[in-house]
Amino acid sequence: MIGKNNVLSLCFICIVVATMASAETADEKGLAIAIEADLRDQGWIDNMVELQMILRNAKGNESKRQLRLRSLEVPEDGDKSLTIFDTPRDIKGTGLLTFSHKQGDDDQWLNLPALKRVKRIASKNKSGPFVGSEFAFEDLSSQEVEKYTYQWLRDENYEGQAAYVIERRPIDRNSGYTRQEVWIDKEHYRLLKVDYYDRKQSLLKTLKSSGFKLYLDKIWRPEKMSMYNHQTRKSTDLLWREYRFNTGLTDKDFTRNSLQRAR
Amino acid sequence: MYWSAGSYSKQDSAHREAARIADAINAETRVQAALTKAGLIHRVLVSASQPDVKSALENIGIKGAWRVRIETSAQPVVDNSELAKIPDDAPSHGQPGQLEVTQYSLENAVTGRSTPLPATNTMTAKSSYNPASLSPDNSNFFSGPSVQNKGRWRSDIGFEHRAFQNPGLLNTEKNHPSVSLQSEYYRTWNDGDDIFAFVPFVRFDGQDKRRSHADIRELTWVHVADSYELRSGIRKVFWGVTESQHLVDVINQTDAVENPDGEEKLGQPMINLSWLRSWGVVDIYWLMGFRERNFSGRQGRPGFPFQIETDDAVYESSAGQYRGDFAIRWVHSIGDLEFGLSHFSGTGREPTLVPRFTRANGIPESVVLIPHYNIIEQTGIDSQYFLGDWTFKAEAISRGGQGIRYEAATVGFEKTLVGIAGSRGDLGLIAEYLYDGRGASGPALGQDDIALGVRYSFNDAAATTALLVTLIDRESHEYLTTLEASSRLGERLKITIEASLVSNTRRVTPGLLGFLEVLSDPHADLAFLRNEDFIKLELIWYL
Repeated sequence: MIGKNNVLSLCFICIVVATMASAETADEKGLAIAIEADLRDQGWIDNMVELQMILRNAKGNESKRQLRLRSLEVPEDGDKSLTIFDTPRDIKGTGLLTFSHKQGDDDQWLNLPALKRVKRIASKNKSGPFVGSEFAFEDLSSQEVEKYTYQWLRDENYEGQAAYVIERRPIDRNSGYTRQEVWIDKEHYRLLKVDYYDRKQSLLKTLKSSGFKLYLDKIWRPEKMSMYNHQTRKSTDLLWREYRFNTGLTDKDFTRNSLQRAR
Repeated sequence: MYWSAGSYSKQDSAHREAARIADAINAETRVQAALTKAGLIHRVLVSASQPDVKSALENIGIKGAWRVRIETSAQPVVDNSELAKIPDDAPSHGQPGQLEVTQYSLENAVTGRSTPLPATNTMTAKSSYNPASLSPDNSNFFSGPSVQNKGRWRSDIGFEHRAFQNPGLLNTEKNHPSVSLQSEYYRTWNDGDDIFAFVPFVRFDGQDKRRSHADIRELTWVHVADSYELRSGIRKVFWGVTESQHLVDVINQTDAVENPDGEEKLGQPMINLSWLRSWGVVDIYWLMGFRERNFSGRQGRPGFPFQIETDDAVYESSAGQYRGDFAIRWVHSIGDLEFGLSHFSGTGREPTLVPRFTRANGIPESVVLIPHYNIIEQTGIDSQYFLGDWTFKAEAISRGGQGIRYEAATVGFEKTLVGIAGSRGDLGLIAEYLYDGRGASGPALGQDDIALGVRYSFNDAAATTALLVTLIDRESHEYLTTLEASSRLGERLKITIEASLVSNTRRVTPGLLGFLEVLSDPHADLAFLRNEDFIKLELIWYL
C-alpha cells in the first residue's frame, strides 16, 4: 500500500527530476545547439562550388559577380578557402586566399594578377563589405563554435519547420555586430535565418537560406542565401551551384603560389 | 578502399548486381545499406584491392564509379524501424531517382580520406538512384578536365587621354590621346598542372612615336609539381611591399613610356624555379637577356630636352644585352611577419645617362645622352608586419656596381580605419620615409623624402577607390602629389583617373638653358617636372 509519505516523496522526486531537466541553462542549451550544428557540418573534407552573387541597390538595380570557390576542411582549426573571380571583367582572375582560425584573426591574401602582386589583407577588416556586397567578410568566413558566446532564446516554427532560436554574440570586438539571432531547424540543425544587430543594437541585416540539398549523405548546403540590409534596403543573393565534395584538394592547393597561378 | 558501382532500392537487386560484377571482373564485392534523403539504398561496393577496377567496371558497362573508403568493421547504421517504413516498391536498377543526392565524390576526385558512410539522416522520400549514371560535370575550373582546357582569349582596349597644364620645356603639345590593346590567351592541361599564358600588349600614341610600342608581357609555360613550380618564358615578377617606391623590385625593366611612375614593366625572358619548403619558398631565376629601358621621344611627356640615343647604349658586360643574369629570393611568413630576402646579380635595369658632345672645330655643338648599363650586385630585404589595423612595411637594399656601394631604404606604415564614421568605406593612412645613401648625387626622388598618403575604398558595387600621395623632399621642400582613382561602369567598363602635380618648386625659364639651370641647382630636384603636371583619364573596355 502506498502511504501518504510515499506519494509525497514521489511528487518530490518528480519535482527534482523536472528541475534537473531544466538545470541546463539557456546559455548551455544555446551552446549545445551550436555544437550540434557544427558537428553535423563536419566531415565534408573539401569542396568546389560555383557562386553567383547578385547585388541589388535600393532601386533594384542589379550587378553580378561570378566566382569559384574551393574549400578545405581543417579539423583542428578554421577552414581554408580560395575564391577566384570570373566577372566582372576588370577583376577577372583576382583571387582571395583565406585561412580561418577558431581563435584570433583570419589570414587573408589577395592576388591582383594585373599588378602581379599578392597583398595580404589587414585582418581586422572583418566587418567590411565583401566586394561591395551586403555580406561582410565575417559573414562568409568559416563559422566556428569558438567565435561566439551563445544563448537559447526560444523554440519557434519557422516556415513550417520546428526550429531553435538562439542568440550568439561575437567574441571578437572588431566584429561589426553586437549580436545575432539564429534560427536553426531541429531536425537537421541547418542555419535557416540570421538577424544581425549592429553596434548600435539595431537590426542591420537578415540572412535567409533556402533550397537545402544533401551531399555525402550528411552535409546540407543551401542553394540560395539572401542577405537583406534593413538600413540601406540593399540586398545580395548568393546562388550556389555545382557543389562537388571530396575532390582531392590538399593543403598544397591553398598556398600563396597556388593563389598566384589560379586565374 | 572500395568503388561504388551503383545503388539500388531493392536489396536483392543489389545482391544480384554484386554477384554479377564479382563474376564478370573477378573482384570481391559487397552490399551496404545507407539511409539518404532518397530513402534507404543498397550500395554495390567493389573492392579496390586489385588494380584498375575502374576500367574493368567500364568494360562491363558501369561508368562513373566513384571511390569510397570504408572501414571493414563499419556496419550500416540502419534502424529496423526505418527499414519497415520503406516499402519495397521503388524503381529498380539504372533509373536515377528524384535526385537531391547529386554531386557525390566523383571518380577523378579521389582522396585517401574517409567518405562518411553510412549515413544516419532519416528521410522519408523513397526512390532508387544510381550515381553511376551521373556524368561528372565538365565545368571543373580548378583542375581536372575543364572548360579552361580548351584555352581562351580575352582582350581589353584602353582609351586614354592625358591633358597637361602647360606646354613642355620644348614646347611640346598639351593634349596626348592614346589607345592600347592587351590580350590574354590562357590554357591549362594535365589537371591544371601545366599552364600556358600569352599576353601581348600594344599602344598607339597620338603624339609620341616612342610611346607607340608593343611588348610581350607574358609568354609563359608553368609546370606545377608537388614541391616545386617551373616557370619558363617571358614573365613579370614583382617583389616588395612599400607604396611610394619599389627598391627591391629588380627583375623586370620599367616600361618608362607607359607611365612616369615606373609601375609598368616590360616582359622579361627567364627560367624560374620556385621551390616550396616548409620553411618558405625559394625562387631561383635565370634571366636570359636584357630589356633596354625605353624613353619618351622629343614629342613625348615628360619631355627631355636632350635626345637619348638608346641605339648607342653602353654595357659594362662584354656580352651586352645577351648576358645571363641571376637572382634568388627566399620568402617566408611567421605568424604576422612576412619577409623576403633577395639577391640580384646582373646588368642593372636603371641606366646612368652620360652626355656625349658632338664638336665642330673643337666647340661643343650638340649634346645627346647615352644610357650606360652597369653590372650590379644588389641584396635586398622586404618585410611587413601586421598588428591589428596597422601594417608596418620596410624595404632596404645594398647595391654595388654603380659607383661606390650604397644603401637605400623605405620604411613606413599603413593604418586602416574600417568603416570610418559609420560608412561602408575604409580609410587607409600611409606614411613612409625614403632614404638613399648617395644623397645629392642620388636620384631626384627618394634621398631624404617623406611620403604621406590617404587611400579610400568606398566598398561599393562599383569598387571605387582613390589614392592620394604627397611626396615631400625634405631638403628642397618641393612636393610631388599624385592621385589615382578608379571605378567600374557596368560589367565591362572601367574608368581610371590619374593626376600629378609638382608644387613649391623654382621657376624654370623655357628652353634648353632653363633645363640646364635647373639641373645644376641642388635645391630644385623636381623643377624639371614643373611643367609636366597632368591629368589622365582612361576608359578600359573589356571585350
